[in-house]
Amino acid sequence: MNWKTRILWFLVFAGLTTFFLSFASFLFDRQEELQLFIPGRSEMKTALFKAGQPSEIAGLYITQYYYHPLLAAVFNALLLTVTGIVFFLILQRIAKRPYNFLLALFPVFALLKAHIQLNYPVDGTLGILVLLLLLSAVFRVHSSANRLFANLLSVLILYWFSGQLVLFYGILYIVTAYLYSKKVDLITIVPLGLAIVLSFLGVRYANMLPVTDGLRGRAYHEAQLNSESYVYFTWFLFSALIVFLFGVSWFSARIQLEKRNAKTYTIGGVVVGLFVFSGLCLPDEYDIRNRMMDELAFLSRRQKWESIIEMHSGKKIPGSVNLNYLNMSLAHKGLLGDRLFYFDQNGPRGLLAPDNHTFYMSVLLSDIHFFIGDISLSEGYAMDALTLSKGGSARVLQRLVQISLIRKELALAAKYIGLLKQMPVYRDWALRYETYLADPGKISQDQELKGKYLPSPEKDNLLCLFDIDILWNDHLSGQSQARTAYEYTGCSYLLSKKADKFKEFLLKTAGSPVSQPLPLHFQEAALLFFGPDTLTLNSLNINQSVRQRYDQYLYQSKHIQEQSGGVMGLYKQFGNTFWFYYHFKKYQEPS
Amino acid sequence: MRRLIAVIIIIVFALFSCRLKLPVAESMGGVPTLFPDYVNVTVPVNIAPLNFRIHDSVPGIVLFGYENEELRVDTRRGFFDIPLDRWHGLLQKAAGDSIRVTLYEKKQKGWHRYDTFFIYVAQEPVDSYLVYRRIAPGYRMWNEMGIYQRNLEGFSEETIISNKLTGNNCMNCHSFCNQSPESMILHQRSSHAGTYLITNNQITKLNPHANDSTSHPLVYPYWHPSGKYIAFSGNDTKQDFHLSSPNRVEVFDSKSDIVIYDLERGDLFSSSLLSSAENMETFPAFSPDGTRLYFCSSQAEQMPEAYKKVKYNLVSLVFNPATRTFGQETDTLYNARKEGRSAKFPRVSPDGKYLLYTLSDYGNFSAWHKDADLQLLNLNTQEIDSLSDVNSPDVESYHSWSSNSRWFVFSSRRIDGLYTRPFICYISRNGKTGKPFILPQKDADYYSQSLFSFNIPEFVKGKVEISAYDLTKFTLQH
Repeated sequence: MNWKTRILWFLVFAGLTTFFLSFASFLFDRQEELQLFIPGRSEMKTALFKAGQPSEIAGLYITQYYYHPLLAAVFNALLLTVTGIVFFLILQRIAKRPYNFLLALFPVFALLKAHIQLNYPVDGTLGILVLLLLLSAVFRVHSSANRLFANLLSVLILYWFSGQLVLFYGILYIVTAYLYSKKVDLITIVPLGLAIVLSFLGVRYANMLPVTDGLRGRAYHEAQLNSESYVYFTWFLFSALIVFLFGVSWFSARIQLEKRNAKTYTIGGVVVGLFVFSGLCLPDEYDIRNRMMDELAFLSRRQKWESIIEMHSGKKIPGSVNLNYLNMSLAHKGLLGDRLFYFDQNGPRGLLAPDNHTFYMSVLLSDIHFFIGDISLSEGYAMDALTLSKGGSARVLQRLVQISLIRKELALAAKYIGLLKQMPVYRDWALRYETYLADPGKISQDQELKGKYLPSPEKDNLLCLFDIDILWNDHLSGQSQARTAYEYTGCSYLLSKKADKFKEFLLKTAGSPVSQPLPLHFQEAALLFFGPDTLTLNSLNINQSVRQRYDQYLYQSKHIQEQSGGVMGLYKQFGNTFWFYYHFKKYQEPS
Repeated sequence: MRRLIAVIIIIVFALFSCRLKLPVAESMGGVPTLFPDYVNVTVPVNIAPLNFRIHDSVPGIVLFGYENEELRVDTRRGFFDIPLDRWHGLLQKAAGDSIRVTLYEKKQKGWHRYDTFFIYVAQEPVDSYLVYRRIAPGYRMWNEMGIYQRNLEGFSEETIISNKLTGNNCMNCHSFCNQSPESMILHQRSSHAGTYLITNNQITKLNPHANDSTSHPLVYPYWHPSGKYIAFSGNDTKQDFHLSSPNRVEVFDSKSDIVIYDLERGDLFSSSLLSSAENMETFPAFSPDGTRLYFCSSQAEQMPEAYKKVKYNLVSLVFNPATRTFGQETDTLYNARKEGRSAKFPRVSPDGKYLLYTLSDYGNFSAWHKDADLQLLNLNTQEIDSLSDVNSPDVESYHSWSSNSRWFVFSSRRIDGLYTRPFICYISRNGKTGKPFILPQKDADYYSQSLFSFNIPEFVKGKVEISAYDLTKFTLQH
């Protein structure tokens, strides 16, 4: 490789790092959330001796550091760059051509597409890299006997490392050998034979998924909790691409590049092909939508509430999940009752979206309920998230530590803390919480646990027998948590336009410390629902400015037909009020 | 050269001499705290080594002794990994007696020695395999799960079936006829749903006739000792969370009946006493002679509102396997209304002497009830033993007997309050129980690290020979 090529590969690395850092940092963070790497676990120790599992363990080891965005971006960029370089070197051995660098970028783009999918684990590419390294190494061996030996050894190594990937190795070896030496004899076929035998044994005796599972469509793989079939799917695509590129390399090697036109056309063709292919591999609309969800999860995990609020300011909000994050952020900043209708709300699902039984929603719902103080509900969703993760999730374990401490289940908290202590990223956090095991009295002083409690056993019943507002109403007698529950309860009535419930709630809590000061939208709703009942309104401390604005609203809404902009004109002036939401907003009722 | 060899021999000998010499140690007094707790437990003569760890990651020595025989195990980081062959040799010699155990631990200021404790070795072996389902203790969801068989004489575990290969479906309720590995059933839910019967390595899918009367899925099974029938309960089961109970989750039935599946005729039959609308009948279990069916029955209530009112009686009904007929009235062994609690999971020992069941304050799914305890009914004397040495303040629930009636295995959440672990307990001919011990693992830290529960532990006399591949292939095709 000359210095020009080295610079080009360095630029590729820099470009990939920039891309991953700007586009995929949030995704990597979620991948880290979804897994648990604990080297001390006996399952992990034994996995190193099981065929196909070491790549998975290596993947888990690497993914645990994805918590740091820069590290994740650099690693992924490095992995793809090295894969590209190894492939480039193989192409160079087939025929040294000036466009080999461009050809080597095809698999880089293909893998880039895979690396921005949540369900694609990095071990798929680790396996591919090992495959290419072995393929490259084998072709450096010249004697037939030695090459056969090296080949069989490669098959065994690859089978140990990545299991069913050996089948692809066997096929790619035959193709490469043909292109390289123009012959396919028995010795060339032996590695594939061994690979087929090993693959069959893996399925028959080692519970490996048959490689044919990878032939199902992308939708199937994305719906699977087990990422193995997704990896197979990627291996199929990658191998097909490699065979195609080998074919292109071989075919173009027949062209006399000394002729100027031929050279121009060939390189031009490759450039156009690469351009089109890279377009296909760059993030599509679906990836961009997912990125927004990943970003919300990322910001929420790091308690960047202002950033979440900022993300939605003045924009149309695409769905309930966004609203859940936004409204939770408003509540964290103590602004839920004051700023709720400054954003495009769409019914009560904006506070609690329906559970779709994914890890993502389970974590979100667990977080919301924990924040409000619904410990049992939060635990239920956290356990769902733990179940839906890949062998565990450190983030969810953190939540379960907190819940176990609130429940005073110290043995369980100790178990989870013991696991988190073994993870470099979570060790400090675990050590801090470990102090509560020795001194449970400190639990109530923790910033996140303060004010959170399990209701007394006398109040116990099954949660299906409670409406959520009854549960939240129960928190109103608490201390630091009460205001959050108060705002969520009131806002749930406002969002569902339940006038009677809201009036009852407002009168019940009027004058209590938790209702002071009365949130802006609650004042607006009071004016709307209590109307001429000045006695009640006076007892609720409604601001004069709100009263004046309400009068303006009433006037303008009565004369809406006379206004130039109609409803839109009213929206511009009063779109951030409960009055406008109540009278004009239509939303789908929760089933 | 000879000199060199001599020097090497002397060095090796010197190293081993140092190693085998016990350190001078200060007596600590009291028995050590081990994880898992194997202090003074009673174990079968064929059990795998009881690997354990001490609290601190420090060097330690443990001496297992019986008469003049001694087995020494050293650790550098607090984990004791006992050699399999020497352990079994020691157990064989100590059968019917006890092994003395002395532990040395290196603290900062030197070596400490704890008081000697004992491991009692029963002469009667336990069945050599344990089959269980391993699953995360999820509340609503499931993901990775499988049914596995563990060789109790060593540490090898094999997959009977794993849902990784069957589209992440749910699988449960494995059951064996007379602890025989050759007669097994299991259910699968969601995709590839059905009840699969494995007899003599032949797999079939149970297919009750279309006109059979049960409207609920077949759930809790129990084989008739003849192998001709399987009793099932059909349950309409739901679950929900508690607001503030330590029990976390409540699993309850709205309806349930018991039916018998005739394996030869392929049809279901029942009795009005097993499938009445007024009562919920569940947890069937045949007596070892096959002439009596034990089950639990509660008056049907409005669910879920009245979930705490539901308390199950433990009853039995005469059964004639030749005519497929039942007696006209039930015998009550535990009267829930009178006694105030709720009975479930009756299991009669294969020698017919004892009936082991679970008792909790209410309801039928005791796996989530911290008040759930095992009870032992002597069927000859009708005396009840509350098994205070066996039970813990946490959940004790599902249990099954070994084929020789000297051992039972049960599920308990006593270690951390959430994750269910299998404990094995000795019971002598006169009904005296030993201290139960947790299923030993190669890695002493296994239970601290694992985020999976062990469900439905069932002893089996030998290895289930059907391969996971064949079973998976069959279920995928049917």
